[in-house]
Amino acid sequence: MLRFRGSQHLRQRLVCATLSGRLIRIDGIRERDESPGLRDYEANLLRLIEKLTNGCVVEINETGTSLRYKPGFVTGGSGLVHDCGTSRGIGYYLEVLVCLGLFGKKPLAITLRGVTNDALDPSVDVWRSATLPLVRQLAGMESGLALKVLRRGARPDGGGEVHLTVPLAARLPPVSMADEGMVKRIRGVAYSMRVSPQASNRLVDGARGVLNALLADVYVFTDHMAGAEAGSSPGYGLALVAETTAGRLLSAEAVSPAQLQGHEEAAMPEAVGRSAAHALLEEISRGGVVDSEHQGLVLLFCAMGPVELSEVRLGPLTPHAVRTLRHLKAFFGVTFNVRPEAASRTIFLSCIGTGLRNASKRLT
Amino acid sequence: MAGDKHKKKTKGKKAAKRSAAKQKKGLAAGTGGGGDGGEGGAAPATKQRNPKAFTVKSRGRAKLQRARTAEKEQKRMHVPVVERAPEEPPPFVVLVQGPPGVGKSTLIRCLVKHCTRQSLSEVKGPITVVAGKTRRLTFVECPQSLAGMVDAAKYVDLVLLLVDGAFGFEMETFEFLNILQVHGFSKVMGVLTHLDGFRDVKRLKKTKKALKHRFWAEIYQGAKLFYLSGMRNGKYLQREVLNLARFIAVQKFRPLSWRQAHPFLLADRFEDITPPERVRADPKCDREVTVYGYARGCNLKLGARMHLAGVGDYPVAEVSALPDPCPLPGAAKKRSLNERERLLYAPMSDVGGLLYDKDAVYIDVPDWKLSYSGGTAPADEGAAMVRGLQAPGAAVDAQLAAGRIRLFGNGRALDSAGVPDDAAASSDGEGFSSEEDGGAVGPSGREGDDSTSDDSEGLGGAARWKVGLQERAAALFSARGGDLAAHIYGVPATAEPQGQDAAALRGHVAKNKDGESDSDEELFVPRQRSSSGGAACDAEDPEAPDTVRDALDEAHLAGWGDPGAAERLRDRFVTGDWEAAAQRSAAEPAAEAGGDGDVFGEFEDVETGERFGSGDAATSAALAAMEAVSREELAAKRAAKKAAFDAEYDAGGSAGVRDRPAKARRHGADADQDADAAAEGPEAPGDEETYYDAMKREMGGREARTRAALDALAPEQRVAMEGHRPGAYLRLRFSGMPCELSAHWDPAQPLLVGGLAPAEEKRGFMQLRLKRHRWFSRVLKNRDPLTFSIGWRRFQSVPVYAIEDQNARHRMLKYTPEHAHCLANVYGALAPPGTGVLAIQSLAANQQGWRIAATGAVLGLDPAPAVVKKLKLVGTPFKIAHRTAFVGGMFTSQLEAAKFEGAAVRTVSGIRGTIKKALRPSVGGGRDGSVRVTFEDKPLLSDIVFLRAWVSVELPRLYNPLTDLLAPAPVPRPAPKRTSGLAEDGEGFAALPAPADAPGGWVGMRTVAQLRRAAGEGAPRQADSLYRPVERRPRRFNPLKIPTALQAALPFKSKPKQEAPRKRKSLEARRAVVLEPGERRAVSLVAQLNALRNARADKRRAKQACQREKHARVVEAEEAWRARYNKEERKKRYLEAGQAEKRAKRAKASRSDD
Repeated sequence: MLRFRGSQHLRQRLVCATLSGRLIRIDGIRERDESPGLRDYEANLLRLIEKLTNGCVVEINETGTSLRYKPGFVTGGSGLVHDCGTSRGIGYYLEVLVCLGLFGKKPLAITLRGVTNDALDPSVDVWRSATLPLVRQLAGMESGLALKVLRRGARPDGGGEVHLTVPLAARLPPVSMADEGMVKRIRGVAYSMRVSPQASNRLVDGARGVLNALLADVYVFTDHMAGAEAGSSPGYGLALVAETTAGRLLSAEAVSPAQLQGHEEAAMPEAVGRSAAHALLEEISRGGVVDSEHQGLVLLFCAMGPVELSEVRLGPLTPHAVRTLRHLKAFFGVTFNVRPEAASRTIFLSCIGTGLRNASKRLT
Repeated sequence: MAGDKHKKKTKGKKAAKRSAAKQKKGLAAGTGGGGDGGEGGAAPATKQRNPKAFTVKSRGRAKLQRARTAEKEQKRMHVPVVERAPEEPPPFVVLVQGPPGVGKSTLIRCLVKHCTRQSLSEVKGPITVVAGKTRRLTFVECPQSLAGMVDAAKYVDLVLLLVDGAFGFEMETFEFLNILQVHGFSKVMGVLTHLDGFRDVKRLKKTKKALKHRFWAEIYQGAKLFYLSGMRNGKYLQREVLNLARFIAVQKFRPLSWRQAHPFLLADRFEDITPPERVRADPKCDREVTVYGYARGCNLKLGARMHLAGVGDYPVAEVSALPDPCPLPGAAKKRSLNERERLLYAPMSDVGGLLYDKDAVYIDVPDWKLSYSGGTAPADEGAAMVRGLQAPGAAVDAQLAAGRIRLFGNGRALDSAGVPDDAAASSDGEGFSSEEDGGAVGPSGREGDDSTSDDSEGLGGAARWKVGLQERAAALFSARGGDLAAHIYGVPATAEPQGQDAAALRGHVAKNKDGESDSDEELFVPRQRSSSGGAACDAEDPEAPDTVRDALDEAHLAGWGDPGAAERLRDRFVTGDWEAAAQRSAAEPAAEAGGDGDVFGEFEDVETGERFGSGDAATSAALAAMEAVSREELAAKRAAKKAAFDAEYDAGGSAGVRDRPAKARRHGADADQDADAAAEGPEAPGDEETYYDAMKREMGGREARTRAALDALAPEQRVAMEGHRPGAYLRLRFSGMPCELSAHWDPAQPLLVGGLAPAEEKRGFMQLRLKRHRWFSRVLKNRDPLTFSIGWRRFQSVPVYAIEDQNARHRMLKYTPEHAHCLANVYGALAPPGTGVLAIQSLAANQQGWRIAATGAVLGLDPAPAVVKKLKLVGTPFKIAHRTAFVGGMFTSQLEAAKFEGAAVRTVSGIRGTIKKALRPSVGGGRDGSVRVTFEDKPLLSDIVFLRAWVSVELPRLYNPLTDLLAPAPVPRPAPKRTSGLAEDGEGFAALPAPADAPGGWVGMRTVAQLRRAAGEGAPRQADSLYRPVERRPRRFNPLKIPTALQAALPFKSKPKQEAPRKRKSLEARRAVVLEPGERRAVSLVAQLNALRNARADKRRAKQACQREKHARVVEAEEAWRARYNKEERKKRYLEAGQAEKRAKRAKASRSDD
């Protein structure tokens, strides 16, 4: 059994425990907090995992500060529905679903309801345009992995709905991503719901004002949703994806503040668009084959890969990536070789994977 | 050697024959062509001269031939597997298997003698020898127990299957072959012994042939079977042993998938290192044990649990790599090994006399070799040295303490007290990862970095991180990999129980540094308002918010809006400078392998801040010289490698595991270009490269890249990344082992230590596809315990058999099907789907017949498999109203009945119905639990109503590991010689009831039949379930009477048409027939012919009757004779039996008198 302390990195702990089949116990979850214990979204996540797997056992103590998780087998299946609540965005749950769904017994098809666009978690637009293409590259699959946005929902009331399908992966190919390439085009989605349809155009203007100085090939789709498709709260935002000549995708995002009143200056659509463009420039300047949000995901796939060399080039490591590296060592015994490259200030990380096999899939 | 090119004979009988044949052929070609046909080139010449004669004659046949060629080509292909053969593979395990008394130990002794020129006194445990320049072998004698045989099949590379030629195949041989098949078929070579007993050459020849063909049927057509024709001085003939050794030496081995995915080792040495004092205080205390052996299979990763076959799963307390006790000779070119290189390593067999341990070398000097020569002066220098060792003046540690070492040429000498503790600490197995958090990183060396850029900050050290100078910069970068690795892996993700306090303490310190308040106030102030509120970016913060996104600093982001800020990124876009971008993408990290960078680069004293390094002229010169030397060495190595590779490349590669570095395995920096070469393809991809070839080429390229990258690493880091490679000699320490392991340790029982994947440590239900073995005499009963061998493990479990119905329902079976697969649900330690399964009912050696009960494979893992069995609920209608009936007796209560509303029922006569409603008690006079059912037709009161339902079966959870190494060895009982016979079919084996297990040994759960036999009970029988003769009275039906009025009203079609009996004959019967003269003649002729035929038949019949009578008389006489004879025989037999019994009684009586 592996023992952990604190609430940090809970999602990946659960994912790694399920994939490696190891029992975990987490103590001292926010025990010094004013409201100790697991949060509602964490409990919701555990419920989702129970829905997704067969035979898992979750034990939580009375105060919620201690959690024992015995993983089961991922079953997957279609026709699943889950309400993600409004505390965290749907992006919070998607990472778990994609990682586990690949190693299930049956292909996963699930409908998620909740907040689709949020500042804390990657929005569904980033997932659709940057994360899923990345996962497709990492898992070596051409099709089958898809996310469909049926309804958008912003904070605080949510009301969005997405449909996710994840195919099965027997085993993963090795990851070899050392070439960053040069940014050749920038695409994006400017969405708005329950606000003036003009907002999305103003978002585009803001972003283009910054980016067109560097590149002409900038195209941002506008996606204004109205009526039932617009969810329960007003909001707008912009997700940008830069594609490089080596086929790498770097994403950045900016979202309108949850309370539009009182933040008029920051909430101006042009300002949001500009800050999204600035965030994208920041990601590009950091370097690496993926942006800072996807570092952990790439490292996880490296560790799950075959017993061969997997190598990635990343920008400065985020705390999440550092925690991921530590957890990969604890769960899979995978240690990365870290080699910084001084001139470009990027880091080459290489490892020998565990050769993870899909244990849930039945032999026919 | 065997690898030499075949030389055609130029002299002798064979050569003459060949030349004659050639001449004849040439002549024929010459005459056929009508010209001057050359000797060898006749056919091509003809073909060229007359091409039309060699075109296809039939289009159809040519098409078929093409199709066949293509098919053969496709059949040849297998899914390519990545060849991960180590540079120096572990010794191949050669297992010598056979029934007792067949000559196994003798063969091992002969082979060892052949390889090493040493005589073994006893064969115990694995014996490793250097068999050639590139090959090491480990000989193991297969234990006789079934568990030992099962283990052996899991580690063996080559089996020498010994067969007693005088006796024929025995059951163990076939059993072992079957075990091998299940656990991946290793190579098998047959060896026939005891052939010197044959006097008759013809019989010997016939026997050999018969045995050979039976062997081929079992392995494959043309499998190698050796004949050891006789013995001389208790040894096999030297020439035959040499031939056998040569065959072993050229054997190629196919990688087996289970072994490619799991590390394991075969223990060739075993030590109990529990402090003797603890054992003396408590003889039953848990033991600390070390196991030595070559790592095999895949890489052995650190922190893995191991399964000791026959003992259980245990975590490895410590793994350490030891120097190879039996190394291969150096790479120098020569034809054969010299005496010093013919090494033998067999710690369990008491040879060699030299033992290497982690920190010591033991020299075993037998007593008889010891003779102290007193005060005489030693003859030569060597003797003097040994004498010096025998009488050391002071203890070793005292000598060490006195010793002084000079590290640098002009530096001062250091004594042992002066060595800092860090050096000792850093030499532990974990390497950098065990270093204390932040301790390894000084606050130096990054000032320059910080000043140059402010967007992505250098935060190498954990200490810096915690101080929080760069809280907002959610980025981490350090120019030195060591710093970064120490920062990442310095803090473990897990919270060890002893580490909790430390973590808490750290938290306190951090908080106090923040200057919140002193401890008194802290008691009443909540630490954090809310965890998710503050965007703490600390990687160590246990309550850090769980998000992949860092909150970016608004002000920092806004910096990109400054004029010219974005322009700095111009080169990262396609609109910028492509040269700069290409440079950037081609940039590789500076070579800094582990600690090497620190040794050679400039460094700074942490405490004093004094800088050393390139500034000092003397030091830099020394460094340059050292580098030059190392570079030269590297170049020499590289050249040697390249030469070796070229040689092998020219010789042509081959599939399978190879002993020496093949083209895909390389060292050093030249690996990159080699990788490119590999990427170009081994066979220089011509015009048509198939998908298969491309796949293989890509795999080879990837493997070469992996190897090159790993070769560039420091050894400790390499071990941390990929674990110990196969071929390394390892010492594994286990603690908390049961004391029985040491108490009952038998070196003749090889110990297999298999590595487990994390998912294989779990217990759960496995679904197996299982088939009872054709030769096993009984069907297998549901819920009877079976011993399974799956993966490394062998355990007893209780299977529940099932079969999958058309609608994917798993229906329970009471017994395994006779000749078909079925599903078995088994609780136990999980194994990945696709693993082979072997099932054994009883491991006892003293049973006649085939012992392997079933074989199969793991289909899938399921925490709760749904197995159902059929349940028929029976009820009777007690009130019928048209098509609705009240049915009682089916359920016991209204509540129960209510659950079945809507269920389908059926009467015996086939009328279908539905349960509509559960009735309240006493409605319609029914019992509690009655229901209202509607049918498609009116049922009768005498009908019986069935409800077919399915109940889920509860699956038993028994997991009983077969811990046979923890049990005392079983007392051997005279086992019946279990022959299979050559002509005998499997079905012919005698099915005697297995006697109870031999005393001692491992005792498992017994089957129901064994329990009943022990209790002297038969199978339970219910009188209700017995078959009785069915009595059916004939049913009488009354004649159908239709009232006349109704009859009259019926239409003619429906009227009963019963005619009254006739009083007079019909007209047809009464008419007279008058024949014409011609007709009369014909009729009379037919009548005469018939009469003739009848007369002949009568005669024949009479003759046959007479003959039958005669034969009956003969048979009667023979019967009478036989009866008489049998009676006499029986009488004789009874007499003998009676006398024997009397004798036995008398002998017993006399023994009891003594």
